[in-house]
Amino acid sequence: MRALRLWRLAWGELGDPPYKKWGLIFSLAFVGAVSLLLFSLSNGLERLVQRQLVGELPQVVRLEPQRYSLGPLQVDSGLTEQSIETLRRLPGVVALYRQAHLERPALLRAQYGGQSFYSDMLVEAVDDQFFTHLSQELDLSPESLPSAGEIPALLPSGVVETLLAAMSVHTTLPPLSGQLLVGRHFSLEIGRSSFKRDEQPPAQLRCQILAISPLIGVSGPAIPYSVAQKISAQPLRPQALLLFLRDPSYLEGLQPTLQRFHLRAPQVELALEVGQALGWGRLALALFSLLLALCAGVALYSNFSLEVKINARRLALFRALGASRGDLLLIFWWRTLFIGLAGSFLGLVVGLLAGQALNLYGAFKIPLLADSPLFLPTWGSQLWIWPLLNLLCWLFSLWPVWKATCSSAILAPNAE
Amino acid sequence: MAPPLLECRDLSFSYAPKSQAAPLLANFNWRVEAGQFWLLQGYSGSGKTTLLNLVGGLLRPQGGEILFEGRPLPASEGQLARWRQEKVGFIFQDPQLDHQRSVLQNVLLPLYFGAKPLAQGQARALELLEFLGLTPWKQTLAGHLSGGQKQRVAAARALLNNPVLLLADEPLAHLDPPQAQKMIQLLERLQSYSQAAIVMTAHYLPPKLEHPDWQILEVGS
Repeated sequence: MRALRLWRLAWGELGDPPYKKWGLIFSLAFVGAVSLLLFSLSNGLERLVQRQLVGELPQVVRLEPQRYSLGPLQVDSGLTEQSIETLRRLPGVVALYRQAHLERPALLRAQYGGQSFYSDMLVEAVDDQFFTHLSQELDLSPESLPSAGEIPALLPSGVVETLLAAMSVHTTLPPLSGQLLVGRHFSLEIGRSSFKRDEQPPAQLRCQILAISPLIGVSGPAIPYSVAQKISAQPLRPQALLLFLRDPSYLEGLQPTLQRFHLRAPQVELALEVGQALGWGRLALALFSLLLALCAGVALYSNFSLEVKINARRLALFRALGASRGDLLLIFWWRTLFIGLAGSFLGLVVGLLAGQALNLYGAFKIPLLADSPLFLPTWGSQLWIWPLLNLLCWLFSLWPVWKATCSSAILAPNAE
Repeated sequence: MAPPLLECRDLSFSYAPKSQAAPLLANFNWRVEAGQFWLLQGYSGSGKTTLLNLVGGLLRPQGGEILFEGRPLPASEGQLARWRQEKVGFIFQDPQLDHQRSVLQNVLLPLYFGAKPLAQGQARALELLEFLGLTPWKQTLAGHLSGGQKQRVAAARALLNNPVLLLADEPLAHLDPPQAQKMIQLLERLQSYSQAAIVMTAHYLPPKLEHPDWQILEVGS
């Protein structure tokens, strides 16, 4: 009740009503609008750069050991059971699958349009659960799953592209798309190679292509770990991991653990490097915004100091009429609050409108920006404008307002 | 026996307490009973206004104590502000009105700092304006009033909260003798109307303006 009465006093008893403090409101709005614009533009720019350079951040990541060159030799740190278990327990990790090379040679044999194709391949083994995971994710019907005696297999997209290119050059067969290969069969002759025969007796596997994936091996098909283990002469040694994340945002938090275990995620390294570079850009923007805020703060400080000075006698009269220091504090804080709220609201509206106008203009002028707008405000940046500008207003008016509350009531009787 | 309304005991005050100069007030004793009219006389710089500020709680004494109705003045700033609001009214040499506001709005100003309901305060303000003959001007902007009318508005503002002590600092300064006479009449009317004790400071008044019932204190003598 008393606070409301003092609000009425704050509204017009001390010089101009706060809504007439256009200079202060505009300077705060300017800081708010420019900060919102700059941060939202940096968001949009970051997304645009990442899309153009590395595509969207993935949810599934292939991890490889870091390789070191020692003269002509290249060694890698390898993957251990400990590192695999640690990674599995990290926040955001939904699933983790091992990948290993089958050390025996293999020959892939397939037929299409009455013509045979065979080629040396390096067979890769992936954890069995990955196949289950993939079947559920692809929502495969029971009839499209491999029948008894057949082994599910995945083909790396790189191999498929080479295969299809070779077919189009060397045969007259109609071209195939990668997706048409799904559900088709091929045979793997383990132990055979055009280079050298295996010393162990050969084994033949009939495989059905479950999917084409860019995430598994590079030089050959992937089969379940358990099958590969049975035909391998020695225990399989994981050489890569397939990591499924709840959200791509967990990628950044993963980096320290990857570094600890000497692992790398080639797909995301560039994205993170770009993100880090843009992080510096954001810091520069934050400093620029801070500088603007300081300028607005100085204007606020000067204005409030002048107001206190001009109204010294009036404030003294208030004290003589029974106003406590708290009352004077509240009168000024009401004014500060109004200016802060009005400035932040205006800044937000102007910033959003200017940003949307920029998006429209950008989309009209540059087609690339139609899909990836430059002005990309986040809820966070919009919500933070309010407390930040009000805090700024409050901080810079603190000292003059404090001086106002110290106004001595004895100024009043000594008027004239 | 009821304690006096106001009592100063061994009061000391100096604006430069660390200097060797003699203090403005030293071991000063004074009693004001309820309903009395006091005239504090003295030359410029004798300490009249300082004494008024001390008893009004606007300044703190450096020695001695001030008792109001037998109790020391509140120690905390907030309690002192509340006490001042409830018990003391000030009339200044300059009426200090907001010229952009109406007479009624000026009189109501002390209500903003108190807990009294606005309706009750408004009724009291209208009553005071009626008593002071300002009812026809209640909606007039204060800037449009004459000097005497402004002083009456300031008096109404000082009496809004029914103070028991009215402190008037040099209300006759800059007034010609007929205006000073009117001001004194106004103060006497206020006293008989409100039953408040009045303490007024002034330079030496012509004897014809003084009233036989007044208590006179020579400050700085």
